[in-house]
Amino acid sequence: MDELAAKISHLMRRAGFSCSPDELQQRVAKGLDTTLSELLHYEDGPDYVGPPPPPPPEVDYYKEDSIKYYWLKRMVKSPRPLQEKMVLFWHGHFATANFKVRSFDAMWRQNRFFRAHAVDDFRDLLLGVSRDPAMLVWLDSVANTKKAPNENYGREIMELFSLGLGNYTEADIKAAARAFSGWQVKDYVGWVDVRQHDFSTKTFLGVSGRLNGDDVVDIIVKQPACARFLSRKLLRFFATQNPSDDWVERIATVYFNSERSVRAMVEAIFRSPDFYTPGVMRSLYKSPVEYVASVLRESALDPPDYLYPNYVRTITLMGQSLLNPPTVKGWDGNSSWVNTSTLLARINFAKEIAALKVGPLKTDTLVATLTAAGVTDADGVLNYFVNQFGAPSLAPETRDVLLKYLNSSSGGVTGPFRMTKLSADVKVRNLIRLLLSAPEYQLH
Amino acid sequence: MKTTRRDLLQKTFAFAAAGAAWPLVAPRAVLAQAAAQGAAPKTRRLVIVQLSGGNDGLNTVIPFKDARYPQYRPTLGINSANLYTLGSTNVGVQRGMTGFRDLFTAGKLAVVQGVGYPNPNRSHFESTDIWETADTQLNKYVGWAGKLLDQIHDQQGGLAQGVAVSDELPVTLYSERSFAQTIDDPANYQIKADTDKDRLLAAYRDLYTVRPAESDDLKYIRDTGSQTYTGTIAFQNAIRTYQPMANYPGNLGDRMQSIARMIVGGSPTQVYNTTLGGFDTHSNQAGGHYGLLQNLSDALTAFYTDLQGHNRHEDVTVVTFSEFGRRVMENGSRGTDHGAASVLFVLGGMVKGGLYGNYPSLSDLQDGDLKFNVDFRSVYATLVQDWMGADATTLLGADFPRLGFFG
Repeated sequence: MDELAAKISHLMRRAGFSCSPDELQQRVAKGLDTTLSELLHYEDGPDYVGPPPPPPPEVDYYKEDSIKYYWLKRMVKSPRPLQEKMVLFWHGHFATANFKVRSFDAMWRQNRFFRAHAVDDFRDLLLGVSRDPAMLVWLDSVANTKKAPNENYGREIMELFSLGLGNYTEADIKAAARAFSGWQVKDYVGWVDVRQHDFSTKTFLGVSGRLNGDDVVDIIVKQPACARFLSRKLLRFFATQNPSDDWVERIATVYFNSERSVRAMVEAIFRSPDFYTPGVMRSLYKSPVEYVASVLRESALDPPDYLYPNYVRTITLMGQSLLNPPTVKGWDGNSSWVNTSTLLARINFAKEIAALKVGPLKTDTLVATLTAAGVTDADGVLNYFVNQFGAPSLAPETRDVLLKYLNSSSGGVTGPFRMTKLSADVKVRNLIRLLLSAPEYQLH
Repeated sequence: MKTTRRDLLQKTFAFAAAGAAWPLVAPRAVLAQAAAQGAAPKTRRLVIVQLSGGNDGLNTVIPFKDARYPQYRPTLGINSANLYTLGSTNVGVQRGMTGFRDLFTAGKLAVVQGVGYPNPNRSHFESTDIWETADTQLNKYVGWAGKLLDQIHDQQGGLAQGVAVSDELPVTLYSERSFAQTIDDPANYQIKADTDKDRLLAAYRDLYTVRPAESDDLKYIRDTGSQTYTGTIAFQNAIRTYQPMANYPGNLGDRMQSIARMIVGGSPTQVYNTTLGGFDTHSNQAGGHYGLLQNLSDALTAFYTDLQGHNRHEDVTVVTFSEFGRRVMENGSRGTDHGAASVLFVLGGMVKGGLYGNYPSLSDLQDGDLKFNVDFRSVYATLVQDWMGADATTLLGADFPRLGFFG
C-alpha cells in the first residue's frame, strides 16, 4: 500500500468504520482533500436509506434491540461514516444508559439528537443534552427542585461533559443545580416547571445573576478549560491515547476561532501532520462495535438483516452494551476492551463471519475472485486478505503462523496450498478467521 | 496516564483449571499480602439464585400455626396436613420441598425470615435493582456481587470473576474493575472449530505464543490470546472429567449442574448467578407456585448432594433472593399481588442451619404487607464478610449487623 493509500485507509478507520479495498481505491483516486471534505460535509451527499426501526411506543426489550441493530446497520452502511462515528463519540461522552432511563423512545430521541447535531456548535450539543429527556432522567434532573436541589447533573455537566475536575468548586455545583432546577420531562419532551425553578440570584464560575440552565451552559462553553477538555477527549477518541499538550492547545484554539464548531475541531485533527505519524497510526484498540462494523465494511459482506440482532448480542459479549454504558463516565475503552472473555467473543465472531456463505464469501465466488486476482499460493492468499481487511502490518512471526496453517495439509488436500474449492472452503475461511483474531487486527 | 504492562496483565484473567494463567496474574507478593490480610480461601464459591417475579414468602415458609394465616389465605392457604414442619419450629414448607426439609434437618439450610428494606418499592424493575445493587437510592449501577469481585480483584491481583448461567448478565454482577460474563452452557466456553479443527487450534496456539518484537499493546493482546487459548482448553478438559453425583431435575437443575460442572471441574470463578423465573403469581397461584418451589428445592438439593459427592460442599454457599414478597391477603383471582418482606434461603456445607430473623407478625402489617425485621444487606454483609472474607462495610457503604449463619 503506498503512502497516500495508507493515510486514507487510516483516516477511514478513525473517522469512520474502515472501508473495503474498492472504496479505498476510489478515495485514493479522489485524493485526501476530497475524501476529507466528503467525510466532513456529509450533508452534501446521500444519506443511508433503510427501514427505520419500528416506532417504540412503550418499554419493550425487543424495541431496545431494534434501535441497536438499526444503529449498527447505519454504522456499517451509511455513506456518512463520520456522522455515525460522532454519534458513537457523543454516546460515550454524554453516556446515558437505558437501564435507568427505561424508555427506548427517550434513548432513540437522544440517539437522533446526536445524529442531527453530530458536528455542530458544542453549545448546541451541551444545551440540547441538558434538555434531553433521557438525560433529564439519567442524571436526576427530574428530581431537581427549588426546595430540594439535586446536584447530580450540576456536577456531571462540569466534571464529565465540559470542564473536567479541578476547574470548578463545590459552590459552582450547587449554583448549577439551582440554575437547572425545574428542568423536567413532560410527554417525552424537556420543559421547565416554573414552580420548581429557583429564580433567585446565583454565582456560577464568577458570574452572578438570576441564572438559569441556559446561562450555565453559556458560561461553561466560554471557559478555556472547556475547549481543552473537549479537544483532549476528541483527540483521545480519534487520534491517540496520549495527545501532547501542544496538540490539545491547537485544537482548543480552533474551538474558539470557529465558534465551538465540532466539525472544525475534527477537521483540524484530521489535517494535523501528527495524525499520520507512526505513533498515532494503529495505536488505538478497536472497541467492540468498531471491530464488528469494520469487519463488515472491509469485507463488503452485506449480511442479511436478520443477522444484525446476533451481531448486537455479540458486541455485548465483547464487553460493549450499546445504549447501556456502565456508568456516566462511559466506557473506559482501549486496553480494557481486551480480556480473555472478550477476546474469545471476537475469535468466535470471526468464525461466524468466515463461515458466512454470502456475497463475496460464497465458495464459488471466493474461488473465482482469488483466481481472477492471480492468487495461486499461500503468500497470495494471505496478501489478498490482509489487503481486504485494512492492511494491518503483521509481524513476520504472525505471517509465518498464518502461512504455515495455509500450507498444512488437510482432508483430501496434501502439501502446500493450492487453489481448489475445498481449500477455499476450509483453509481460506479459517485463514480469514485467524487474521481477524490476530493481535494486529485488534488495533486501528 | 500511562498504562503499564503490569496494569494490563492485572486487568485480565483466565479460566484455567490447573493454574495455567496463575503465575502471570498473581505475583507472589500479592498472594502473600492477601494471606496476611486473612482473606478467605480462594476455593470458596458463592452461588446466587434469583427467584424473579417476587416470591410469595408466606406460602414458601408457612406460619401455619398462626390463626390469622388461613384467614388471609382462604383458598391458597396450606394446612398442616399438606406441609412439612421444619424441624421443631412453627413454620413449614410445602410437600414438594422434601429436599429442603431434609437439608434443614441436617442443619445445612438457613432460613432468613422477614427480609426486606425500608420504604419497600413494589416495582419489579426498581426493587430488583435495589436488591441487585444493595443500594436503596440506586446511586450507582454496580451490583453487590460485582463490588465483591472488585474487592477480590484488588486483593488477589486480577483473577476475580463472575459467571452468570443465564441469557444475560444480571446487574448483581456488574462491576467496575473485574469481569463477569454469561455462559449459557459451559461447553460454549471454547474456541469453536468445525473444519480442520486440530490444525486450526494449533495455529491459534502459535498465533498467540510467538513473541515478535512489537508494542506493549500488541504483547498484551498476544498474552491475553495465549491465556484464552490455554484457559479454554484447560477448562474444557476439566469439565469433561466431571461426573455428576446427583440427578438434576428441570431447567434450574440444568443451570445448577452447569455451575457444579465448573466448580468441580476446577474453574477459578468465585461468584455464580442464575435465575428461576415465574414467581409473579397474580392469579391461580397454587399449582404453579408449588411446582416452582419443588423445582427450587430439588435442583438446589441435587447441587448440594453432587458437591458432597465430590467433597466440595464445604467450599460452596448458595443464597436465594427475590425482589419482594407478596401481599398477605390473597387477591380475587386466587393469586397474590406485589408485596414487601419475604424469606430467603442460604445453604451449604459450612452453613449453620436454622431460622434467622423473626417471622413478621400477621397482625401488624404495613399497607397490607409484612414488615421486614432483617435488612437484606445484613444477609449480604454476612456472605461478604464471613464467607468471602471481603470488607462488608466498604462494600455496602454502612455497617449492617451480620446474621451468624456461618456460626
